[in-house]
Amino acid sequence: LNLNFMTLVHGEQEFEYRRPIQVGETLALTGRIADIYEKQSSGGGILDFVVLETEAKDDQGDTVFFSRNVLISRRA
Amino acid sequence: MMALDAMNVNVGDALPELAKGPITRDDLKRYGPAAGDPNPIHLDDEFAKSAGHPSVFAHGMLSMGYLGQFLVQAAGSPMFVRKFRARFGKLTWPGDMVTCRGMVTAVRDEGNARLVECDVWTETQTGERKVTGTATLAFPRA
Repeated sequence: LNLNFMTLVHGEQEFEYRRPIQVGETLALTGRIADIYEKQSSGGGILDFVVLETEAKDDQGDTVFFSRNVLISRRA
Repeated sequence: MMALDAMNVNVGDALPELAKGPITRDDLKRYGPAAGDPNPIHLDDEFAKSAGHPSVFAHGMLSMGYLGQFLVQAAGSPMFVRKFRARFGKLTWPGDMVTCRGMVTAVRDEGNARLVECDVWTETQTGERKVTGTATLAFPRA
């Protein structure tokens, strides 16, 4: 995603585990940018938010786990 | 450390705490590559200073990992940790002692599961809360 480590912080993380993963099974992971928005920081600057979601599905198409990651970058 | 007794758990109950640390720079040097996190802000003091910090600081996910261990301990099995969310509100520094704590906020039954909602957090030696979050434990109903 070409992220700038100077200004980037990991703001939030969420995991949801629907069931245990079994040895030998194949999971298909899909990642998507779920949201992009900006907020005013308390110091007056602008913060850019990027929300990344990852979903893992089994052979039956059932979701096995879900992850949501919020990255925050201080705008230069 | 005893896990929660799912059939006798009440709102306001404390989760058994878990003490970690002190965090060392060596912990961070091992955690970054293990987690696949290449950010030098956790490894290189000069880089951290150039980004405006006094020194390197711990990966938020290291604290979340400690909270994960703490939740497994409270649940009695990794299979009973259903949902786990954390907000990386304040930074944790080398030398900090990290204690994971939590409290039950709701208990309800759903199908064959007893769902226990908790507030969880890490705090350091000063008592300041650093990483805060919520978790849902799902116990099989006896």
